Amino acid sequence: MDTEAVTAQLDSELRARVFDSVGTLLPRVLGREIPELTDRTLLMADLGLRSATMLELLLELEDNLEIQIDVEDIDQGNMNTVGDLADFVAGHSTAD
Amino acid sequence: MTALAAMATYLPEHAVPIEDLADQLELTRMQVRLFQRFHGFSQIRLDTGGTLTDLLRAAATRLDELRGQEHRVRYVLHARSMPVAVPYPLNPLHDLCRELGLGHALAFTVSHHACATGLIAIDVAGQLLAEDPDPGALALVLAGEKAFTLDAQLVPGTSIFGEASAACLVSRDGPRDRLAAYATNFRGEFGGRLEELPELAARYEQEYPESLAQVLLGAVEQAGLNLGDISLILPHNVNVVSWQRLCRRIGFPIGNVLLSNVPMTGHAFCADLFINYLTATELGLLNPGDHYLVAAAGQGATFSAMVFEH
Repeated sequence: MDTEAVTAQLDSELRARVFDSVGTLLPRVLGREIPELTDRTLLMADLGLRSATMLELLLELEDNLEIQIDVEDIDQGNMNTVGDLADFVAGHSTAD
Repeated sequence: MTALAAMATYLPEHAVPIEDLADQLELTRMQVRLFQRFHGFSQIRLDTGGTLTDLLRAAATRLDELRGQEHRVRYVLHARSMPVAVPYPLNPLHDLCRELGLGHALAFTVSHHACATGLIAIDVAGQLLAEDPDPGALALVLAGEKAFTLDAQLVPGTSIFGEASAACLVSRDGPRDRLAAYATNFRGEFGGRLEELPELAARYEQEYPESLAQVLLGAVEQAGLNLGDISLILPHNVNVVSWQRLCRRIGFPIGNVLLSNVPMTGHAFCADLFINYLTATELGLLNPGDHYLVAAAGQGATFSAMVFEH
């Protein structure tokens, strides 16, 4: 397996962990239960996240997954859906 | 052309780490980390035990250029973010004017544009001076507020306020820091207590970057310049992350936005702009002839930007 394939596999593993963690952590961040998540669940419109709660979620993900997220690169386009966020975190993180 | 003739600021010595404010501001451990990690806050200054008059006096008495020129000061404007400062009939501004030998000046507060009020005060001062029969008349713009209630200390998830003050002499014309353009956008539809209006708050959050970008670019265009001609942005210290996003949006280098005071002072209401100006000059970041932007957004909402020539 070449290096690129290994990286892609690692990223997809991390992505899956990010997705699961979002579902676990969001009720704590938002202080209420949330509906079942899909990749297409809208973070703001469906779940009611705001800029600050989004950043809080990133901090919770860092703690939970023991990663460091390169937040300087994050933009609105990375925060539309749960899938967008999982893609971003999987592609912009390093092990803590 | 309106010019900033002289400026002085006051930063109280008492620095309070924001983690020490957690209980008072009702912040969770994660919210404190959010302010530190993303928003760039480390500490705020507090003028503990001091009154609003004390705070404003501290800046005004540091303004050496005011000494001997009191008779030329026709207007004194207090640029204030919070609509309320002291109970009637107290009037710290009038008290201070009498103390400073400025009892003859027309003194009033400019308010209701939250943290964008500092720019409005400069604009109002310039307009008054332009119409004044005495071409040598001056205006004194004061900024600085007490962080005296939870609302005055915190915008949840966004900013933490500290105490500091500034005094700026404005002249009708002058050789330095000449106002080249002013763009402002009043968005009254965002008026209201956003913490209690989640839908409005979400819409404000969505429209904030574009609205602020519009006035920044509008002021630059009005000045007959391109963004590449701007050497520095002096921001309001709302937080670091919002400026990072804004810079990406408009294609301006974040390293040319003076954010180094955010960790040291927090958001000092309308005084940020003046404090940041003095830091820029102390650090030698402005050369004669440089054009720079001063920008602020105020909840309610007002988005404002000015272009100055140093």
